[in-house]
Parts: sequence; structure tokens; C-alpha cells
Amino acid sequence: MKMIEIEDLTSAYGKKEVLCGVNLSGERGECIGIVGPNGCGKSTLLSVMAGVLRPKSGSVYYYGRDALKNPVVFRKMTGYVPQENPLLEELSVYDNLRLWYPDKAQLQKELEQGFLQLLGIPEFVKMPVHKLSGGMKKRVSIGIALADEPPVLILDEPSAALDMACKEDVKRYLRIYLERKGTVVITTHEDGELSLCDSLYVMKNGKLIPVDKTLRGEALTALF
Amino acid sequence: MKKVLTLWRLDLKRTMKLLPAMLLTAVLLLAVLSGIVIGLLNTVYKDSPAIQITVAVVDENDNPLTDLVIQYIQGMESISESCRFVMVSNEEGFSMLREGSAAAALVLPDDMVEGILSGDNVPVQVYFPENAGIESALLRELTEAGVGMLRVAQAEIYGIYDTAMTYGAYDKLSVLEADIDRNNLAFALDRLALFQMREVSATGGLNLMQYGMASGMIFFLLLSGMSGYSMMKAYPDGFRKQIMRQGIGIAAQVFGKWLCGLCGIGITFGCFLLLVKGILTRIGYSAWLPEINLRGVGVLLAVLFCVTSYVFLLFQLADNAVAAVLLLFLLSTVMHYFAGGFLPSVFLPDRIRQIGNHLPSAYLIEAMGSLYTGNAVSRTIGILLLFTVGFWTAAFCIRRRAGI
Repeated sequence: MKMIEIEDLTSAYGKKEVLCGVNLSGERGECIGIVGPNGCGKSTLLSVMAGVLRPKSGSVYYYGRDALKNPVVFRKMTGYVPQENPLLEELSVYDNLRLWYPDKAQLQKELEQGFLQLLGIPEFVKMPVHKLSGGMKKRVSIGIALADEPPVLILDEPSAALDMACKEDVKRYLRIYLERKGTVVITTHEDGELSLCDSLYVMKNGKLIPVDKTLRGEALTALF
Repeated sequence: MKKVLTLWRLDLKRTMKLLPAMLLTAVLLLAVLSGIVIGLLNTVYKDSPAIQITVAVVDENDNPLTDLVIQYIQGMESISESCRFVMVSNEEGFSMLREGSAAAALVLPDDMVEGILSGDNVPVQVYFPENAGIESALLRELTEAGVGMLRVAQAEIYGIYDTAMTYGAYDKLSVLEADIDRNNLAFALDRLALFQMREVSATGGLNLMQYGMASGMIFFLLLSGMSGYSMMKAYPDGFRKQIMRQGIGIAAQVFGKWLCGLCGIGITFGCFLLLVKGILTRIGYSAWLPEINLRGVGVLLAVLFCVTSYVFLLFQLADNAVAAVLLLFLLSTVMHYFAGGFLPSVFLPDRIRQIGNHLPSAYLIEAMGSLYTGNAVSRTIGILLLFTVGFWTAAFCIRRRAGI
């Protein structure tokens, strides 16, 4: 059974059609890359896949379960890293994590030997969010997305506005996640992240077009 | 549910972290308001000319004797300082009443002067406009007091005359009248005693100081919300998306934000009351603050609910902090003026007074004033709670439309 199965997905903002019959599927441990020009609908697609936005029509299945009929499926099956910072700036990292890890013992365990530890979050867990760098915030954001240990991780341009070292860190975490048989759906313009992808799509006119995953730079943008 | 409670708890914690900034802003606000209050007090208590009340006098008989009497009365210093008589026709007089350009219309009877001289005393008809303002109310009181004085005086004149005739002391009539006049002036006609029959107040059952305090506290409360924008604004997009995924709906988010606003404004107001109480106690004016008992706590809670919901709604309407603060400041100031918060509404034009009486500020001031008088204000509290529900629902609809 496929981990992700999306069929004929359509979505619109008012009269403007953004997604016009999107089809997508993915297996366990697969990394799916989506590229395209700004405003083409990449973020809208990820929002629908994460259950933040309701589509006009179509279906979204995770491991055979209809997520649109049962929204809990989105929560159980996917972790979502939005482009924007999903943290409350005035609170500490620990306080922010408490919302997503209601069980204190589980949070402590994750900080000591789980994915949060891998992300290096214990180093700055007591700091208020507004004092963190962009890279640190992104790490916490990924840590939040992984709170329920979802089998699918959806990331919307995770490396945007990060420095080189942070980009490398994000790439490293994604590799570990994929090694643990997680499925990744990522929108990106970064060559480093594209190199992780097992399949690559270009979003054009509201549809996903599969392309050669080794395409980079001008050869890839020529397809936009 | 556990996640909703955790969200509210964290948001309240965030509110507490934002509170020092809010309190600091409130202190600055207090300083500015104090300046305004001192300025207003100076204006109110400096010598200023008394208001002139226009009275339409209708004398359709065109009797020269009546004209003489009216001119005589108008010429009296105590009358000319506060009243201006305008001789008009019957139609014009009532038209002036309807337009509000006259505080009263006196319709003089036929042979008024002759009636006075003969003792028949045909009464003058005095008409006051419906929903009379302060001028008419004042004139009504003055008229009633004047009628009382005249009645006593006339009774005394006839009483002295009849007594003198009965006891054959007609030749001593002028001496008796002089003695009675002297005694009247010394004891009976104490003007203050007569004018204290009923207190005419532009501020209802409150004295000026109490009204000023109640109105000032409400204005401070409304404006103190200005520094609560960061507590009550919608969550950042990224955070909002994540909590929506967790099944935390719009109602829970809106309620959480409202709760933060309530705590922020409530604590700020509590600190404000303590500070003002400290200052007033130190300078010996502790009576300026009302005693707050259990009923008072209920009134204060209703006031806080209403103000928080009002501020919360405005913040949902505004896109950013600057727009939110400007909107709150302008609307609150205008609303407070219309409701008689700066100048008792009886002094405001009719149209403004009619609108102002139905604005939240009017009910808020009334509720706060009831802390001084101890009057039952269950209707006012009910209206404040209705406003609370209305504002809250509107804010909820705005957020739902915007997509939180």
C-alpha cells in the first residue's frame, strides 16, 4: 500500500484556480521534491496535504486512509513544517515544545535521546524564541512537526533564508528521517535538498509534472 | 481538550511576560489623563459667565401694563444674569420649544396685571419641552422655587392686611409690613434653603467628583487596551496552521485570545486602582474611590468583560498594531464624548445625546457610578453582558472569515 495517494486534487482562492487536478503518490522512505516558480501553488498543495486547507475536490489518502473524510488522519500521519515560524516568540523553546509534547516525560525523553536531541535542541531549550537564530527556529519547527512521530513529513521550503551551515543541518536531519523509513514531501530551490529526492515534480498551471530528478539549475527552471 | 487547555495556559504565560510593557504604557497613559483632568478642573472651576436661558414670553393681548412688568422683571439683576425673555406670538413660542431654542414658554393670561392687583391671580402657563435638557430642568426648578416664594409672600400680604383690619390696626399696616419683611429676609427667605428643595444635577445621582472618577476610570480602561494588542492579535500564520491541524478550532483560539486580553486589562486596571487609591489616601482624598464589596466585584467584572470584548473586536478589525491603536483611541474618544464622559450629556446637543445614551460608554459609566451610589443596576449589567456577547460574536465571525 502506498504511503501517499493524491488524486485529482483541485483548490481555488475565490475564482482563481490554484490546483487543477493534482495527482501524486509516494512510498515509505521516499523523498518527493516539488519545484516551481513563486505563486504557482506549491504551498497550497502542501497546506492541503497537511490538512490546513480544505480542497475543492479530489482525494488524499495516507496509507489507505481517507484523510479528507477523517481529519485525524492528517494529524496522525503527517508532520508539517510551514514556511512561516510556528512558534510563540515570547515563550521559551521548552514552553513551545510543551504544546506539541503534552506528556512531560515523553518530551524529556525526546530531548535526551530522541529526534529533538538529534536536532540539537537541548542546547537552547531554555532560551526565549525571539533570541534564536533562523536556523535554530527551523530546527525547533522540525522538532514540533515530528512530535507525534508521523510517517510523512511535509516541508515548505525549509532552507529559505538559512545560512549554509543551517542548510546542511536541515539536510542531515532529513537524511536521518528518510533512513528511518519516513516519507518526505518537500518544496525547495536548494540543490542540496534536491539531491535527497527520489522523485521530482515541477508544478505548472496547477498540475504536477514529473521530471528527471537529476535536473538542476537552468535546465530545471527552463521547465517552469 | 488537553491541547486547548495547554494552549490557553501557554498563552496566559505569554500574557504575563507582556504585562510589564502593558503596565508601563498604562502609567504613561495615566500621566497624560491626569494632565487632561487637571486642565479640565481648572476650566470648570475658573470664573465663567453663567449660562443664559432663553424664555419665550407669549402675550397676545398686547397689554402695556404687562410689557412694563416683563421689562421690570427682565431688568432685575438676578434674572438678567441667567434669563433672556423674548416676546413672541403663541405659534412662535411653541415653535421655539420644539426647535430647542427656548428652554420654556410663558403664556401670559388676559389681564394678568389686573389679576395680581385684585388678588384673583390668574396663573401664568409655563410650558417646558419634552426630554428637557439641563437648561429647562434648571428653569423648572427656579420657577417652582419662585412660585413657592410668591405664594408665601402673597399669603403673608393678605394675612397681615386681614389681621390688621380685624384688630383695628390699619394705621399700623406699613409698620407691620416692614417688620414682616425684615423677619422674612432674616429668617424665612433663606434663599439657599429654598433652592435646596431638590438638587438639580447634570451628573445624575453622582456629584461632579464621583462622575469624573467613574468616567475617568472607564476612559482609562478603554485606552489601557491599546497596549494589549500583542496579547489579543491573531496567532502568527505558522503557529495558527499548526494548531488548526491539531483540531484546535477558531472558537477555542478566539476565546483564548480574549481570555489573555481580559487578564491583561484586568490586571492593569487592578494596578491602576491600587495606585490611584494609594495616591488619594496619601493626599487625604480616599473618599473619592468607591468601596468595592461583593456586588461591586460583580459590576467590575461585567465592565471588564464588556471593555475587553470591545477592544478585542477592534483589534480583529485592524490589520496591524498602529491601525489597531489608532482605531481604539479614536473610536473610544468619540464614543466617550458622545456618552457624556468628558462633559455630562445634558450639555451636549440633542442628537449627540440621543446617540450617546445607547453607546457602551454610557452604560459603562453608569455601572461604574453605581459603585458610589449603591443603586441597583441589574438592567445596565444585563446590557453590558449583551454588548459583551455581541462584540465577542462579531470578533469570532471576523476571525473565521479571515481564516483563523
